[in-house]
Amino acid sequence: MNKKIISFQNKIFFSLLILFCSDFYFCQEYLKEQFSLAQNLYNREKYFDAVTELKRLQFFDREGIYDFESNKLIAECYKAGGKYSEAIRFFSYAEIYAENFDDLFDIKIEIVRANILRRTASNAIKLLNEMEKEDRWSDKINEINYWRGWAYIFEDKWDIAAFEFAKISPYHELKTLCEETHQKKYSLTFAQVASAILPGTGQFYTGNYLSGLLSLAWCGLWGYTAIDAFVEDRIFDGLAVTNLLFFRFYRGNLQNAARFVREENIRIANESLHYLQHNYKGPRP
Amino acid sequence: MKIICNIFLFLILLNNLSAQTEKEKWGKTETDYRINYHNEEIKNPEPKSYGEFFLHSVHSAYRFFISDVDGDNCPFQPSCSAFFVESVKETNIFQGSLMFFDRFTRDMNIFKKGNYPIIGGKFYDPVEQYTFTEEKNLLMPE
Amino acid sequence: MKKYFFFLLLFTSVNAQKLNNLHSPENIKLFADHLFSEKDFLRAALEYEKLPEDDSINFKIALSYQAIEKYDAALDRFAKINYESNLYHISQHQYFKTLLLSEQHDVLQRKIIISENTDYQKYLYISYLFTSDKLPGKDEFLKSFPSNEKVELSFFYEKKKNPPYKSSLTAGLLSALIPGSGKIYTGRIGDGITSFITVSLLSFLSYNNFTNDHDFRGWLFAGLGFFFYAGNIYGSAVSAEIYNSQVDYQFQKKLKEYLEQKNYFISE
Repeated sequence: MNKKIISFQNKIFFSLLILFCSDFYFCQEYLKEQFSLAQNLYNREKYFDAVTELKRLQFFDREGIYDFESNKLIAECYKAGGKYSEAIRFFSYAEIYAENFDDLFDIKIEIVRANILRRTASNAIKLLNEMEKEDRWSDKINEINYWRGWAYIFEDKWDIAAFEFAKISPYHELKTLCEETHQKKYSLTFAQVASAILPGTGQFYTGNYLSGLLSLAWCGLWGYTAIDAFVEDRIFDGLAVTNLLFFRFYRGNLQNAARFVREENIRIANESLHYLQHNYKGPRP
Repeated sequence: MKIICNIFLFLILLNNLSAQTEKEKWGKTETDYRINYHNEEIKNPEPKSYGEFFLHSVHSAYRFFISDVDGDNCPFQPSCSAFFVESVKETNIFQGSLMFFDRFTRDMNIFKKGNYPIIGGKFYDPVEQYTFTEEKNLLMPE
Repeated sequence: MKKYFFFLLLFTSVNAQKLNNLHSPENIKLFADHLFSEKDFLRAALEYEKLPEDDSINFKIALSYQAIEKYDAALDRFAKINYESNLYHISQHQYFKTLLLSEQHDVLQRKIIISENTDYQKYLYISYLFTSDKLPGKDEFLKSFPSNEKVELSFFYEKKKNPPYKSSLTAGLLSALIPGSGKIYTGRIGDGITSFITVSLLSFLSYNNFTNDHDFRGWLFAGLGFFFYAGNIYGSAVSAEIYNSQVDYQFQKKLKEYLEQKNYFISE
């Protein structure tokens, strides 16, 4: 009787064991297939559908086997779709499930890259500075400096970017590019001071000769009229011309000097950014 | 273990609170690295009559010799000169002139903040608000 | 023993198929419900659309489309729900709510009047609050709504019946008498004072120059003064129109916020 009971108990035990293993095996297989499907959609650039399939994977993946890979791929889909805030959110989830330091470092760099593209480069710089302080990334300092250089490029601080690339190598291609860009740029302070001393010179400095001549002419005309009025004791007329006309054109001259410098500097920066986006062969955000 | 669970639960909460509501299917987007700079130069459209041609010519000459040289003084969008041109085109020279002088008076008001929505750093004050036509009487947002 | 293992394997494989095919209808439904609860409505709608149509699925799809403001698609789905279904009554309420959200007031009013169903009367009256149509008497209006909402709805009713508009004619006449007073009447105090100062100053300058025999300057300031005066009258009349538009806008905004808060009087 006892033998029969033991034999029956063994059957139940083995049945359950086989059921569990088969469930686990088939479940694993279906999850693997689902992940492959999502990857396939990602490779075919169907990012919205890929995110749907990855969310399906996450919903059915009760064990959390694919937590890291699914969150990382969802983030990459959002990044490719230009939705950087969502990308950063899912990279942050992937960071929690990273299983080794290499994966963790890669994810942190992805967050930095997404921040750069989102034009929140200051966040990227903060993250990189924090990573630099940690001992575990001491062998990856070149990569940290590289992405910090890119962050400064997007902050339009080309001189500091050149300094960061110089830390990697004094002959780094991006160091040269950043230095050249910085040298081509016009000085805002110089333009404003020049225009303050002689109206129109700030515009001449940036090559806007016609605007400079007009500024000089108007300021000259109203300045002469005001002085003439004061000399002839027409104080009210002199004050009216000075306040309503001379100062208006003088202020306009200073504004234009600054505006033309900003426009030119943006044009110079955009030329370099266009090169970096379309011609530069190295890793980009 | 308890701390990890709490962090995980907090993240789930955060996820639910900030859950995205995507309204359209989206695809690949190429982000342009270049800095967006909006050059505010306004180009007048092609004139449809001699009157419009004359108006555009005077406006262009004013912009070239005076407006572009004396700096960005108008706090409104569209600027007062552009407002005058548009109001004359929408209505007629007399009504357009009245609208322009009314705009000029409002420009001189130093306490105008709060009366207009601010878009791009300027007070948004379109011509359509002042034409009396029922369909063009836009609702002014706060 | 062999038979035992054969049946066990058969049962296992069938069980595995049933449990683990992620794209089976049962699993699609589970996933779609999860997306709906996560407020990922577009994905939820697309998942529900993979399932065979029935009333509960159509209802969920319609709610998803309503949430992402695809009102036409939502209306199509609500309309598909069977008259005999348990969800028909609630779907009709959601249908009218969708018409209100999409501001299709003429369609809503026509459908409710044709249906002659008093259950939906409240949507008709809400629609009247948005459009310029004639409202019924106050008692009849309030009868359709729950008793605890009558105070707030009375407020909206009164505001719609007697909006605090300003008259363009009055504003224009006031400004003709005293420059700037029409603008003060419509609430633009700063503009009114500026108008008054400008017209007064130019008038004074004109008078002063004429008195001192500077005729050209006198006429110049008189001309400018006239245009600023005329512009001030025009601007005052227009500012009354703008004031009235703002009154309408604020009313509609408050009404929408109130209806959102009350879920359009649809009980869950």
